[in-house]
Amino acid sequence: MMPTLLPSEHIALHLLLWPSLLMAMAWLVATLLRSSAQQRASANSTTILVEQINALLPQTQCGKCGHPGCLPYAKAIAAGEPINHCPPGGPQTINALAQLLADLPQPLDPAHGSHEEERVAVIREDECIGCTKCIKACPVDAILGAGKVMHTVIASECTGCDLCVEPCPVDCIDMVVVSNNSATWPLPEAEPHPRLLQEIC
Amino acid sequence: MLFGRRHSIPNKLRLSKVTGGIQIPSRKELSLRSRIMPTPLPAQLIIPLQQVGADSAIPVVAVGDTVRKYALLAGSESDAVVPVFAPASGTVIALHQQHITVAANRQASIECLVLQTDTGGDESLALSGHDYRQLSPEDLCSLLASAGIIDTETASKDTQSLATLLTEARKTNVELLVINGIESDPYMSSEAAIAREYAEAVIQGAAILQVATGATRCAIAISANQQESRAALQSALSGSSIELIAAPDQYPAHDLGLVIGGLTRSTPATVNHGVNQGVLGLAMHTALAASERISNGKPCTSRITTITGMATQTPKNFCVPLGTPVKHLLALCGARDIAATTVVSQSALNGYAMQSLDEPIAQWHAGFIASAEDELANPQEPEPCIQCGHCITVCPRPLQPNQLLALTIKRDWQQLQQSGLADCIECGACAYVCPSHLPLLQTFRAGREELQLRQHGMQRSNYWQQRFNAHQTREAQEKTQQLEAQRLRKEQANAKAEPGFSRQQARSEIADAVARVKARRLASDKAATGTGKSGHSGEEQ
Amino acid sequence: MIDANTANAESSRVTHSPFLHSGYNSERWSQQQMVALLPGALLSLWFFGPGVAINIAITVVLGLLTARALNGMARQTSKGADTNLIIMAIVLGLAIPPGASILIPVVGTVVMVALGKQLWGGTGQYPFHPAMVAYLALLLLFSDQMLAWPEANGLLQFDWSTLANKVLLPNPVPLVDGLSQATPLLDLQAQLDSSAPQDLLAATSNLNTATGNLNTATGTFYTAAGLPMLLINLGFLSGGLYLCYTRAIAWQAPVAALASILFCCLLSTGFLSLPGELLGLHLFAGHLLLVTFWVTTELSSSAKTARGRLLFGVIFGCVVYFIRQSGAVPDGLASAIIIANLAAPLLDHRSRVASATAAAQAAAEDT
Ligand code: SF4
Ligand code: SF4
Ligand code: SF4
Repeated sequence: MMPTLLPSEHIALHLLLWPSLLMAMAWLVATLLRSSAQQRASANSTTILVEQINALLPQTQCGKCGHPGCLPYAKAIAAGEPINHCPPGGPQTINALAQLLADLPQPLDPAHGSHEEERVAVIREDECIGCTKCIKACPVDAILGAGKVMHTVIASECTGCDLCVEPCPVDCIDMVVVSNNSATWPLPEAEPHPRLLQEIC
Repeated sequence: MLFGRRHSIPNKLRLSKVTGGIQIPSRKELSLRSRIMPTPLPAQLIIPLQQVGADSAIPVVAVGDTVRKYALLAGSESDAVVPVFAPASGTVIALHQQHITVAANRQASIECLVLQTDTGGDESLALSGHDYRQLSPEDLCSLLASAGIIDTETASKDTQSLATLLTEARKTNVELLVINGIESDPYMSSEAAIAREYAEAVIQGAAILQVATGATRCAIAISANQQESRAALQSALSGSSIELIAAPDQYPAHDLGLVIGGLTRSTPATVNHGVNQGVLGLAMHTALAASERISNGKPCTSRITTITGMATQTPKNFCVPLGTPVKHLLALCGARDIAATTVVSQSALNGYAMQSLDEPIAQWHAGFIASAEDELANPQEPEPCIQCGHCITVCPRPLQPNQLLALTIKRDWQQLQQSGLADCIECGACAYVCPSHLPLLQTFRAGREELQLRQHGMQRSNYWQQRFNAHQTREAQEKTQQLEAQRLRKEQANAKAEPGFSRQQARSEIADAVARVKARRLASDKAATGTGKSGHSGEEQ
Repeated sequence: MIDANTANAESSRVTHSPFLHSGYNSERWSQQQMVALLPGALLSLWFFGPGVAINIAITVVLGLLTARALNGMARQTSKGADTNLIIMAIVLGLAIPPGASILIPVVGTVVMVALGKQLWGGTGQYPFHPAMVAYLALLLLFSDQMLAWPEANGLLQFDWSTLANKVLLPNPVPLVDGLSQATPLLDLQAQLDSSAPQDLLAATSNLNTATGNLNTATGTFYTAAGLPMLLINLGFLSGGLYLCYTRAIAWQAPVAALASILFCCLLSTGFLSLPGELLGLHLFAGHLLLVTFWVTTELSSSAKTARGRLLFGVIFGCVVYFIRQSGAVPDGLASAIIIANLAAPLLDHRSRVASATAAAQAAAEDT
């Protein structure tokens, strides 16, 4: 009995059609899904973007970026201001922002200050004259006190923003470095093998 | 809410194999050949004062004081801080900060008390025990809470003070108390040795803890392949209501989360030793220490620790006074050439290499492996991931370590959270099988730590944001109030001035009056002085 | 402040856990794979002559060279990477008809390494099985030669004088005896086209088994494929079972694939009787077993979770059956693999992360 080979063009046609049609369809569906998701996201994109940016800012509310608080700076970034104006956030925040906004990471703009270790304000209590000026300056109400009596800072509330140091007429406020909590000692080798980085990414 | 999600605990307690897991040839026989040995006292004991949490116990003795065995050295009013007792009689010679490895790859500078031991060191306080059956649960709890016991899950992943756990358990009315004596690490044998030699005491401790927690049922879990220990427990258990559960011979069967998940047939999630699932899981050491405390009145000043590995000549389990330096024990085991040996603490799978052998043994130390030249695997140069999926197959949690690795390297924290990095129990099974020798466990540890820090930072900045918002609304309120007050004051002022009086009016009235007066005076002057004067005045005008 | 890296650093040769390792590495893995391929490959060699060896030699050597060259261009080092490539190259070599001109394995290998593998980023990154991508490309480019399998009359009867011709002249060999590889399936299709479905069994058992001494008179299922192919495939089957037994591959995908083909065959008779010939044809007349055990279990392009692998196998099996029965393509293995590869990430994603999120939610609600 004679085996009947199908004509080769015919086969080639089908071989071509079968997988490529399916792949094309899958690709189409995937792209459509992705673009519709993107469209949905961009519907109220500015508010979402501002929220996302704000979530990356350290929320110290120090105003070193030149804005009265972190949210206004987030809005300014969304409107196009450079991302390297936040000294408390430092390189980490800048990198995260760069990633979010598909921007290039840049060094911190020195005009706005330098990135320092975490600090809290401490009032030298015997020198305090109770002028209440620092209370007015504190953005998160971390200072306790009343007129003409001694004031004190609630360390756990203090964001370390520096804003109370300037107004104090007798310079009795110090910014003290937060002692490293021994329970969260970093790993000696936090980075994975460097060769891996190049190879896997 | 806690009760709503509870899974009912089955009548027949049984532990089946977890999905995934690996088989590792056991090397427990090394250290189980001999019996538990008491440790000859070292010259100095170094006692860390901070054992759990972030706070240190406050010393009640000063440098130079002599103390007797079992005397309180440091304490605190807080339940979360564990008091410290003297493991031997001697003199306090120093109180200083020292670097202690508290967990895998994590060192902390901890306040330590150094005790110079007397020869013999056994001049002890007079202690008396009780019969636990005659004590109320409250009394038992307070006695246990003041005994300085901490409960350690193997490999010191989750270390808690017994006092907090008891309070927590009583608050949530746990149903089942599990004494977890499962050791799936291939080397460590301290729990098996305890079960083998102190079966009675362990069972008594379990009974005590059951009364103290108010649990309705109590079970002891032990590895199925530890025949001797099982037999010892079995015979000691005759006539008791405590159940014995055999755990499958598999790594990581020991993990408390998996044990509790397996017993309650629910998702393995352990928060606070399973208290939230109606179960309290405690280590076998805790049971032993509890029984010592109640029956003999002794606070916790020692633990059973395994010293093993091919570099030791006589590997065995020791009953170690807390604070004994590791190298003292190694010397007792005849370890050759200690300085050149890698000493691994806790577990060969997920433990850590000791940075210094002068570190003291604490309650969380399950054991130490002094490895001979080729005993433990040297880390090999990692190769790219070949996506073989072995790591997925062996992972006891529903994780995909190959993906987690790629995500951690990319630092994609959001995705990592979604992929469940937080669920990783750091068992190391994935890295054990990875044919490409990728440092999976190492990477996940770093990643989990970073994730936690980030979560903490996120919480904090959210809080700050709230505070700032509150501050701003308050300021805005104050401002409007001020403005309001000002406006009110003005209005009042205006209101008072209204009837008839106005400065301008007054001024014009005055001006009018002055003009009138002038005019009148002018008129009378004219009349009085005649023409000469008037001509003059006319010129003037 | 502590410098955690000093102190005792020199003495700790071993720096991080786990301090034990299974000892399993990619070299061991590929050794096992090769050992398992041996019986099937040797039997192929025996029945189809030195063309098989030539094909495999070309694909393996050229594959390694191409990979080296491309890696050099990308300035990558690859050690463990090559072992996997060898297996893929052998599979490709076995899939190419032995009489074909050497142009075919050469082109196939370059496509496999360059387009199938390195284009995607090399080891562990490619989404489609490279050998199957190459096979599809070859089918498109050289469909006549790729479907023309020579007579399986054994090495001893091989006409050595034609060797030079074969190697040098890209001359399609119209040797079709209805016995080997894809051609019985073509026959089956030709018959299906002309005859009603109830004639199916008759059609399959009518196939000529000239060289196989077993005659179709018995009507048993293995004779449908002819003796040489049956033996070759039994070789692959034993190798595959060995791999499953040693856990070098996961059993889920092959088992699911074979089971779903069995299911589909049963479906065709309405579960009334076991369609022995049809099943035999599916299992033993083509490359199904080779693909089932070596390709569905490939590392990077297949599913990696237990459930994902089962689903992967089911998709593969069903698509193969569907293409063979109703598509115009005689042997749908490569297309089926590509389609299943497409689905693989989804299968893994669904089956594993769903449970992780469930666990996370439960934990979140608990706390
Ligand atoms: S206390 Fe001073 S440094 Fe701290 S948050 Fe308030 S103003 Fe800033
Ligand atoms: S270390 Fe984590 S990811 Fe690896 S096997 Fe254990 S639980 Fe899974
Ligand atoms: S075991 Fe290693 S090589 Fe295999 S998938 Fe996991 S990480 Fe990749």
